[in-house]
Amino acid sequence: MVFNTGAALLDAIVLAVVSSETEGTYGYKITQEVRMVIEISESTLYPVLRRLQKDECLEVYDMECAGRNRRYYKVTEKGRAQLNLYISEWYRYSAKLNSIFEGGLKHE
Amino acid sequence: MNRAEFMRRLTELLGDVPPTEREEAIQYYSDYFDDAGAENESGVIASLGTPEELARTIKAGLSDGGNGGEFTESGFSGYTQAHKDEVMRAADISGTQGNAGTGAGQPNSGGWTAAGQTGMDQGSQFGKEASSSGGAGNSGGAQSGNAYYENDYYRRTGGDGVYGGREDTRRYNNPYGQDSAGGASGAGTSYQGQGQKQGMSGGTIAVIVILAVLTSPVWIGLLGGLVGLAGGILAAVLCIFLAFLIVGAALLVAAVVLLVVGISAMFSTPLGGLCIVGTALISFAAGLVFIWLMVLMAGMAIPALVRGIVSLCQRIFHRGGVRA
Repeated sequence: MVFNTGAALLDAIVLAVVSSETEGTYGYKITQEVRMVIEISESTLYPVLRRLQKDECLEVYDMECAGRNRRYYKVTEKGRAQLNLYISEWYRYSAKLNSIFEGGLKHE
Repeated sequence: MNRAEFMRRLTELLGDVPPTEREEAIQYYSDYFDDAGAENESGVIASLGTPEELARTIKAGLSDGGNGGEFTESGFSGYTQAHKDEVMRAADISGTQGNAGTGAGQPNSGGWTAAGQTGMDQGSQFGKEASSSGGAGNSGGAQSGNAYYENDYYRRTGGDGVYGGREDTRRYNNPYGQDSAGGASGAGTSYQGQGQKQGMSGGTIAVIVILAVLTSPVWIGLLGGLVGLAGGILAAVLCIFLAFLIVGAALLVAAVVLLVVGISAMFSTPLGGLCIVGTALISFAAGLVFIWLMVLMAGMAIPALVRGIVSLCQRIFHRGGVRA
């Protein structure tokens, strides 16, 4: 991957992944899904999740699963608003990039 | 190292973070191992890096995002000092790694884990070193494209430790009332608020610079004129002093000459000689008066002049400041 992922974009990706599960999802699954899209180390996501949790963009709850408690992450209202903000910003940003890329092609 | 050893070591290393944070992280990673399954245990350990690296990442995340109100006026209190020490140590370690480990790389997931990690730690304090040692680490990594990317991400987040950390402080700690600069950002739209604020201040600066450049002929001329005026006044006053001094000195010299002439003339024409001596004495007195006047004027005028110039300068700069 030639492009790097800034902190805001990583927040956005994590929020999007978590919000795709209405019942919430757990750390390992989030990590695997994020790693399908961008190349990050497995240890990168915990600080991000923790920060989003403190930011009240994510909430956690424990649920019994196969004889043990598993911690689930769920997007809050605030998190959803933040995600929407990120998404609209992203569309704006990527549209600009697309227009400049396509414009560049036309001139050739 | 198996899972139990890994988690035990991680718990030890997190001994200096607040208990809730420690439990949170331990819970997360023990869940992580559970969910990965026993068959993937060694793979997970390999990709998480060493417990030391993981602990560093966790702690860096804590100091980056705040942990429930341990911020003080002077920054983050509590374990921050310990964390800083760790960062320093990490920087030292990475220095040697960067120098020695060009071809080494880390065995499991390429060189980037260590390089990225130290890059992050250094990013907050040793920006330049971070990039150089990161570079060395990259050339050692097996997948260098990946290494570059990871390392760069880390460096950015690490770099945020300084700037972003401050912003985070602002974002999280409005309740604590330390936010002197901008309490504008409401909790809900913190990102937007920040963006606008930054944009505005950038725009303001640009406008000021453009205005200053555009009006430069006017204010440079004005400034030059004022400097010239001040110089002229200074020169005029100096000339007056000099004139008084010269007149006084001339009168004194004339008095001495007349005295000598008068005394010698007294032998031939006593009356004429007496007259000349008298003139000499008058001239002497007049010369003294001029010099005394000059000293008096200097004593009064020079402080006044200096005060005037200083206040003029102040007014100029003050006006400049207001315009800016």
